[in-house]
Amino acid sequence: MQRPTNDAQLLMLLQADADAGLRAAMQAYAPLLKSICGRVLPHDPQDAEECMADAFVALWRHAAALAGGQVPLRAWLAVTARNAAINRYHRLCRTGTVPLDDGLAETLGELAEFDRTATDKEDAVGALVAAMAPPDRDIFLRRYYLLQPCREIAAALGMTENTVHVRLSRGRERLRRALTHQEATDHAKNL
Amino acid sequence: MPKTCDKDLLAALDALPLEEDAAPLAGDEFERVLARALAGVGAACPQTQQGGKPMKKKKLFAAALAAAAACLCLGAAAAGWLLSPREVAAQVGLDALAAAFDAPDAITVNETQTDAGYDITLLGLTTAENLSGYWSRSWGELTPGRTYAALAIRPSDGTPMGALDDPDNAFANEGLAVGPLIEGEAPIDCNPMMMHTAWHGTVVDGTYYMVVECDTVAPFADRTVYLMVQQGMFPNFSTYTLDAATGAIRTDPAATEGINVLFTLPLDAALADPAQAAALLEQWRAPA
Repeated sequence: MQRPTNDAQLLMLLQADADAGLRAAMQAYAPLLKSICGRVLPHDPQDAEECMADAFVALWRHAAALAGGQVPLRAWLAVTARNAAINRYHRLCRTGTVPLDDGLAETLGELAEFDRTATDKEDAVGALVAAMAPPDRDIFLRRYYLLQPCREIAAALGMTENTVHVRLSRGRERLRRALTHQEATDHAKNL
Repeated sequence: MPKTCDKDLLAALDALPLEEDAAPLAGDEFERVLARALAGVGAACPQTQQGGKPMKKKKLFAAALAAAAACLCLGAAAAGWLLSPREVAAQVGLDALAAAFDAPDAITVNETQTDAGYDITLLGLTTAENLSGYWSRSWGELTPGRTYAALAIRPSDGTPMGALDDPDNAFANEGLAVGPLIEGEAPIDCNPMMMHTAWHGTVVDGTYYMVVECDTVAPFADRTVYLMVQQGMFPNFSTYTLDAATGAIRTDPAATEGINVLFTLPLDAALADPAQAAALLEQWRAPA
């Protein structure tokens, strides 16, 4: 099979030839996954590599399901790698083999807070973030799903770091209000 | 739950320009990650095991490819690349149970039902002695064997699930109620909550795996024994209907928001023991 030129071909190749498919997937997406895993595990390059590899193994496992779905591969891999790296980070923290990163801990704490607020079974936070207007949506996605530092986000979006902080802070407050309103609405519907 | 909004979010994430992530991996780094990924692919197939001896790295690399090719040829049986019941037991830390899933009387099922956006697969079941150390004061004189079932649950659209300590995991907080129902017995009176049921779960590669164990249901093998899987910490038994004429139990998946399915356990009818079944029913229904 020829080198894949799109995700559909890549998923077909993965199912037909694991070696060639993984090589092609890594050529296309390893840089993105490396940057995500590296942000969570900056002091543990070996762990970051293992998380990347785990994400590609997961891609191979799910290739058939992904080929039949509408999920964008790049984003799926990014979230898979993020989750793998966060899980590894938590495990390393528990065993005391990695120093607690204050900045990352703050980010993960904010993530957990959103999810605790979103008690509904639906992924309310995800839906609200997806519905945000730019540039807030980009800022939130970069910060909480790609775990980019505010400095990098500011550089990518052409704004000051302080602006990124302010928009994140205001956005979090809007999300809280929206989630609280949604909870109240759902409660009223159930009365 | 794999919801539309998840796809919306992934689509928004996909649309982000990330030019700053364009630096390729160095050659040796690329090969290390690739070798590890291929080893992971090989580990998904039991063919990589050679008499339990660890393979040397070069052999592992070649074997990983061979195993991947072998798995790819298995077709529907291996579709989705789920762990085997033995592997699930090992992953949740029940090594003795892992061996029991290899016993001759262990039953491979691999039946998948889809509900509420999830694929729920009953991988297999086995009956054995108490292998997990579960203990109940209400067992009294009767200390029956245990029935163990291995299941896999994953979003139908391939979205990976987070680990159990990850708030993204739909089952981390609300849980799943899994266990047997028995033909002819009203679910409200005879259900997993009475059968000394315990659950062991983990997430591997974005798939939630669990082992459920309860007092043996093999003595009921002359009846239909079901396995209920219902989302939520506290199951709603009113969603099940018992046909008074036939004793059959049915559920309407659409009646609940989350997962609500019934599997039929393919028990060996030769194991039926009406006397022990009656004793078990009496014990399960005895006041605590």
